[in-house]
Amino acid sequence: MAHTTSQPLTADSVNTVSSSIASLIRPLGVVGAIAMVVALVLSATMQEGWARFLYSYTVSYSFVLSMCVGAIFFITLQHLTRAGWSALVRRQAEILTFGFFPLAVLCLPLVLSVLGGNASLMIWNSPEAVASNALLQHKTPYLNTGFYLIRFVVYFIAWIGISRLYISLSARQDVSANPKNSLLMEKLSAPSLFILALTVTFASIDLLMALEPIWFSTIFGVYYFAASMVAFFSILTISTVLLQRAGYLTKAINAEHYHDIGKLLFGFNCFWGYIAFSQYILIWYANIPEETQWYLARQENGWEYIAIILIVGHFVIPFLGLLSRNVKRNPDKLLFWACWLLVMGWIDMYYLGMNSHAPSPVFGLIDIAILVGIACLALSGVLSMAYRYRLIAVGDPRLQESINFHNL
Amino acid sequence: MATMTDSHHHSAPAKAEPQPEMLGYLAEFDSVEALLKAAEKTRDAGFKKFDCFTPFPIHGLDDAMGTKPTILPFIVLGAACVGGLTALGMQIFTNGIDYQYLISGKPIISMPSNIPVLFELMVLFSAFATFLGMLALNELPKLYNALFRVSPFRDVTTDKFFLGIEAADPKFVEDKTKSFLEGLSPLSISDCIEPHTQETIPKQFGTIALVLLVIGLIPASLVARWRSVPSDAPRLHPQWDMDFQPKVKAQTVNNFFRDGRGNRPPIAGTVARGELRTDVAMFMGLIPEKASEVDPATLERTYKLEDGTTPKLNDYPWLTEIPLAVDAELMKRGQQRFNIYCSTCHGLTGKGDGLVSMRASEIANGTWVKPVSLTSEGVAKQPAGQLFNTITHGVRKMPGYASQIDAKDRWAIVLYLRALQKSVIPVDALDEAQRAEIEAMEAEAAAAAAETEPTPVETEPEPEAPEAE
Repeated sequence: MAHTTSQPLTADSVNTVSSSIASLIRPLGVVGAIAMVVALVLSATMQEGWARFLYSYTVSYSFVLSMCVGAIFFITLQHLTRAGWSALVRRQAEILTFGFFPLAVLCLPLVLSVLGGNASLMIWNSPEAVASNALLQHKTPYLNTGFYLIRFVVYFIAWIGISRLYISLSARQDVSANPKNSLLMEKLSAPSLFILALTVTFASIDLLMALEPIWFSTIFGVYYFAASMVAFFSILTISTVLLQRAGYLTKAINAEHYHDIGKLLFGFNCFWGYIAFSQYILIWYANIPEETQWYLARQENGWEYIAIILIVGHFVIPFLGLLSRNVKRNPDKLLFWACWLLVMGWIDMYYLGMNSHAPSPVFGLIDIAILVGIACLALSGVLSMAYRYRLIAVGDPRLQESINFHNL
Repeated sequence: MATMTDSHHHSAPAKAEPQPEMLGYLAEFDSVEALLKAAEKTRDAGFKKFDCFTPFPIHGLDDAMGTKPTILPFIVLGAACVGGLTALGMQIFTNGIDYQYLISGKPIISMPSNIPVLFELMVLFSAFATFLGMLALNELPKLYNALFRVSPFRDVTTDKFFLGIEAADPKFVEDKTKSFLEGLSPLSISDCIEPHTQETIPKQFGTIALVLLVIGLIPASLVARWRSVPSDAPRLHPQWDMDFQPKVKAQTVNNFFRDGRGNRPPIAGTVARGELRTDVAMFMGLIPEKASEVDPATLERTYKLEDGTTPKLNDYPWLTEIPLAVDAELMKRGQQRFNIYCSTCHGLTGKGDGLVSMRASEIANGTWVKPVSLTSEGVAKQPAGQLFNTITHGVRKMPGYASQIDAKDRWAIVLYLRALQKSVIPVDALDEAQRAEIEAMEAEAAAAAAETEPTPVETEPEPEAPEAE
């Protein structure tokens, strides 16, 4: 409440979580590595196993990447809008963007397989397919191995550069409490967002849309952005609730902050539905073969059920579930919906990516192993870099505003 | 308390002097903190009918007053559902039931196209429900409130904060409540009294209002009359410059020119660019030396001889060769033009199985004449010039395409037609070597099809390339 003034948080009163979390780094890494080995062994025993591995890897990789993409968008957006409420939770997003380091390594199987001439994932990598198709020939200036590699290098330089910039400025502010750091971050937020919008759009094209090189959708980058924001606010809710249950952040973060996170989760999930429908209705209405083929393949042989799961499970049910103010202010209920939407986020990526490989939906241990592998390795990487940082940006000049924040 | 109950029951005797009524107390505070504390104490003391008045919204005041959450969200949710159902019902009834209209081959009742309207109407109804619901729940608009008779209350829009307890509250006891309020240490406490003075509306007011209403109705009734009564008088032109624009319209009189015509004939002795068509071979498809025998008017599709028959075009001196350099480029151009302009009716192979023709035959209303097969013997026998003339002027139901396809492209189409015609030569007409070659190609293709699985990338079906002679 506004009139009950809290004690200002100082650098000393907010602990890092070094000891308990540092102990998680190694087990997570081991679990991730084992899961990857299991996935590779499984793929070796399957027919077309390597293609299956690559597709499932693309799905889970895009999913894990989307959280980090959402996090860096969140950070820059908060600075761009000079948001006060979020100062308490922004550090968690900053920590999450350490994920770009492990993800830069984890994208190697995808990029290297393309460089090595493998065309089971990216059909445009096959000279025979290109030779027999005029549309693919037309797209070779963009879809070729050299440029593909260059683009991934550019993406990760941009993402790592921007996220390092923000966390280092923010972490230095923990000690100095210098408001100039905030001003600098605000000034850099607009150009950063510009770069992010471009890189994320092209990255989504390269990761998922390029799987079907004939098909194109000009709204695809926005679709991936919307999915990223939903995934990020889900993971932010989960990490905040879990940290509070573990005894951290309990004094400062209250129902008011959950309410805002919940509102954004709800809002961006509606945005996801809006974008998904916008993409669908234009293609449905125009009825052009090279556009509709993408949806046609996702409306038959069992994929129609995945589509319905997404419409109902990703949009309708969470819409009604998150509509109420009570739900957004209750950490336990919000946690449930965050987990729900995270599951839906993975199914969304599966719907986008896996169909190109599987005429009807397939799911098995290999998909779980790959998801666990990428998630654990990425998380282990994040924690190994993040455990020294404080969980709250204690030097942020808007911290007190965030602590006192009150929804009407 | 006594005076209050008196005034409540006093209205019964007719024409009695109205008594002032005690409505409640108004306590004045000069800071947000003081008001919040006072509101909390009032809430804890069990008062229900009390309110706070502030110059700006105050965070936490709802909690301090113990205000229950508003039911407005549920009203909005209900309105949104009504809006959604209205949109669906409207679209399904109008387009799916009452006046069925097929658009773009979509189903008569198709959900995706209904969703944008559904979404918009949900938003519209929600917005109205939010605004009107807020007004209704706040009992607005309110033209009179006795609070404004309390003089310190004037500062409520600048820098003072007030807490008022209504006399209608069950816990309200005149003196006790006043001392409770004093315990909250306000700047001052005022009585809020409704004087019930006999203030009536001036008598002239009604007359003036009536006259204004009648005057206001005059323009509307005049417009209504004009719109419903036929009249010989020319219409009014309120937008003069819109109705009479300074420009020449086609086929109209125009006094600017001496002959009074708006349309101008070409200046004598001139030819417009691209209109000089002296090359008889190129533009008419006739042998130049014999072209003088032909009356160009007889080439028109609708031309009838005196006996009502059509001229025998087969006997005309047509060119047998294409009057252009024939190369692969011209062939490609012809294929492209053919696929754009001709294939809709004649089909991609020229057999007369184009989509328009197929659909028209399916409807079978009797007016459709199926196009002849362009690879049939009758057409194949025709000289190139005659084919060119058919494309230029049309034949039977087919209109001429001269206005859409220029002469060079028409010749290119003729060239492509020749290729199509050669692609359907019967097997018997081939010699041994050609037949062996084709059989070898077929066997190879069959073997390849059996061996390799189809690639996921769809290849565009290439139209059959003409067999080279």
